[in-house]
Amino acid sequence: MLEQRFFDLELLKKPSLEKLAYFKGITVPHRNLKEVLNELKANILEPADTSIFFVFGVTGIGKSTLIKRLQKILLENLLEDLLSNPGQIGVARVEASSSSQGKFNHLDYYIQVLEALNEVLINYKVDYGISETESDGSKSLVPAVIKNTSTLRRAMEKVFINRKLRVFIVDEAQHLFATAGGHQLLNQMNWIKSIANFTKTIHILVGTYELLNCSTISGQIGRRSQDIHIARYHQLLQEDVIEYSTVIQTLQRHLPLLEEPQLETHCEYLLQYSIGCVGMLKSWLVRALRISLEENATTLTLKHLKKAEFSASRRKQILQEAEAGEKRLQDDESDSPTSLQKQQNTNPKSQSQGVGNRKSKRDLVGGN
Amino acid sequence: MVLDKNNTDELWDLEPPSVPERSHLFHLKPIGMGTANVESLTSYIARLAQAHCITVGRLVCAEIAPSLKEGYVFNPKNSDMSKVYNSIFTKSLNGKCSTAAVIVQVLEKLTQRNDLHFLTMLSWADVISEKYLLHPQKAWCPFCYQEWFEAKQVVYEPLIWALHVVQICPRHHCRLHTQCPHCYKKLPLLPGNYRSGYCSKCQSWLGLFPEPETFKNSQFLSEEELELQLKVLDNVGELLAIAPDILFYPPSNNIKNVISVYINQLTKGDLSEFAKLLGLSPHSLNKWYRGKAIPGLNKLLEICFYLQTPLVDFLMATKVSAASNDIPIQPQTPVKRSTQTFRSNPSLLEEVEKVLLAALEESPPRSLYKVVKDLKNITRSSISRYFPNLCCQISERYAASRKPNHQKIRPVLLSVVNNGEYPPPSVAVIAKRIGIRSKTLYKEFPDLCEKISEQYSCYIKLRQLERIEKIKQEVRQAVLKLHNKGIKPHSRYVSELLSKPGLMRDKNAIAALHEVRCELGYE
Ligand SMILES: [Zn+2]
Ligand SMILES: [Zn+2]
Repeated sequence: MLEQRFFDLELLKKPSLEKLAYFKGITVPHRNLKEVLNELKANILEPADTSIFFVFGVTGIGKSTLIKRLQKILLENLLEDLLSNPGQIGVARVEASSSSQGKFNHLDYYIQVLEALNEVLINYKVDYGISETESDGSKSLVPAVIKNTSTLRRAMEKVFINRKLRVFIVDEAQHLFATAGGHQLLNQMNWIKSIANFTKTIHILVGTYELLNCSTISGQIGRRSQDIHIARYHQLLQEDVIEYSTVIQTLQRHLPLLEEPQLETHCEYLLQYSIGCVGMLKSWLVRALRISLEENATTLTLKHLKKAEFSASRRKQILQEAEAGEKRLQDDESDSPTSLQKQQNTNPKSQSQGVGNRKSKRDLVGGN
Repeated sequence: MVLDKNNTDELWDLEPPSVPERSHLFHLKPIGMGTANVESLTSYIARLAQAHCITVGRLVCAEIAPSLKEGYVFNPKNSDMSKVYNSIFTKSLNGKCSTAAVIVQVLEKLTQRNDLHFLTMLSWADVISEKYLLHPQKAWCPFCYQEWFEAKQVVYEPLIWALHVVQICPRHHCRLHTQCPHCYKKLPLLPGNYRSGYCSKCQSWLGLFPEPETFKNSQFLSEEELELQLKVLDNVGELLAIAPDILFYPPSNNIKNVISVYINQLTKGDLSEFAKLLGLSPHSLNKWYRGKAIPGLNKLLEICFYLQTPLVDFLMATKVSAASNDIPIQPQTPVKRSTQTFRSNPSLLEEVEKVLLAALEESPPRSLYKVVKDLKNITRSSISRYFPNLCCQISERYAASRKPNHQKIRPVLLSVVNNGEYPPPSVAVIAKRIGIRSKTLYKEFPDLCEKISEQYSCYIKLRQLERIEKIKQEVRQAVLKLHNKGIKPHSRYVSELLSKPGLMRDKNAIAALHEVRCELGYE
């Protein structure tokens, strides 16, 4: 009589806010994210030459989940070091901010990084003028009253080194390259590379497909970087549909409702309307759950899903972003031998492109 | 109802592992620890500031000074930098004064290191006098600076340069410089604008190329002087190198004891004869002999040179027992090595391990500091060096006891509430069992503690009722016995029949007596 549920049944007696919080806290692993994670893990934990990773995917694909999971895995691997060295930080992350002028500001970035690493007295950094590279020892100690970019850069590098930072993750990394012109892009690439090389800290730049601009350029200046694509799930790939349906089933098991919803019957609809992004699917279900709870419904039905679905314009925007990015990626990959095998995973998207568009117009009934 | 916890693939846990708090300042490693070239504390502070890209002045005023007790050394509220640096504060930092000890403590807390002590002369605080211990100003070797700079090594100041008895560089054997070759000024030890290797007055680089010309100019030492200085370096260097390894900081009466042994040996107890022999002032010798003062490093070296005893052995001679009076201490043969180290004394190692292991069982747990303090004079750093894991466990256990681990404690409390342990324990008993203070337990788990204490007080009440019932029955039996024998059940007679003599004074017993007497018609 009692069906097996995957959460503490006590939860059903709790207020809606708690139920929502529970469901929001659920993270469902899925193939595409696992693959990316495994690749990063293998590359980071085994000594390799790569010092910069570009990790990109469409909005809502689950980048923040990836970052959190990666941080956890790396910290667990470094735990022994961290316990024996109370000064080590090991792994840190920062979110690059978009600047108002549309141009990336190095000074702000350094300050942000120093803050992320809990550095002391950020406003009082001075240039000791004793450079590791220059031998010009005649400069005097200049207090950085006017905040000086090179002083703060040195301060940041020293923190990386002294805190034995192994991996530094920059979220929304496309903002680092929000500069005009190919030449400046190259400068930014060289800039981040020199920091990574000098401090021996692996940089993981996570962002949107805009990062593809850099990877093209990075190909020109050395092989110390690697591109990793977080792919979405495609309707036309049998294995993608199966994986997505597994994710949906896992998610539905954790919806704290009296009756477990039967969402897998709407798999096609859910996959299509979330653009194949698990992150989007999840936030969609959170909203649907809220609606269902407000109605005091015993379970979550198609009606709730419909009410909570993303607007057509939002979907269109994300789909465009995804397709444009995937196309760019495919074009780039055709002349990059290293990622040929990756291409196989994402290849059929060129076919799905057109079909997907047509379908989204036709199939508004959803499900069944 | 069953949670599928086995299926790890079902969900992803994003909670990062708990990592102990990171050090506030960099956990910068001192240079040359355990060698004669160990870095000085002032040099360490300067390098720490440079690593953080802040001036030494800023580091001291913004990070170190606020951690000092107010009114200590200077008032942090109106501390302007010059005041800090004009005080004796920096001059004696590498020495053995209490300021040095306090600064070491503060810095160790900020960097989470436990070895900064050895960047000073604090290990020898009780056996070497403060007089003439340190150079009043900065003393340095310009050739060392240049060499390090060119080899891209860290430019620093060894502690040995700071000692007053040391006049030459241990590596280049040239006289240490005390004046900037560019502005001819004497330099303070730790100015607010310190940069390692630079003059703080004129900002010039202090390193010099060891060209034959400059080298010769620095070398004013005669053969004899040089030989003496080399001996000084050997002895003092050993002192600095061995400091992290010693277990007991030598106590001040070492000096007194060792001197009296030598006086007995050499001049048959004649103090003034001994003074004459060694060329010492009888007045000072008398003070040392009576334990009223301790000699300066210069005097100690003179004595050791005469007695041909390594300085370390002289200072570390921990116990000179009556028996050791018979040890043939000839002026020509060095005394037997008595330095206490874990290496030299494995049984002590076992003893310490035992204490540490026992500390792990203690409830409530004590802090590592307290545990080590009980190990008399064994230094904390040597213990944590030899038993890093045990020390770590002790600290963690203590920390855990201070910061209750809800995940571990809750089930314990729940099982007490639900499983009906008999007799039900009090909250205090459980707190002791877990190893935390009951006050903390009440604060963190008010609901569960209330239930536990309710159960406990119920039990206590029940026990009381049982006791009262027992007394009543006893009294009743006694009264009936007397009544059946035809004796009037007076409380005196009843009392004689009870198991405990004073029982009849119990108010419950009186009430019971009254009750039965009523029943039997006596009242
Ligand atoms: Zn030298
Ligand atoms: Zn000068």
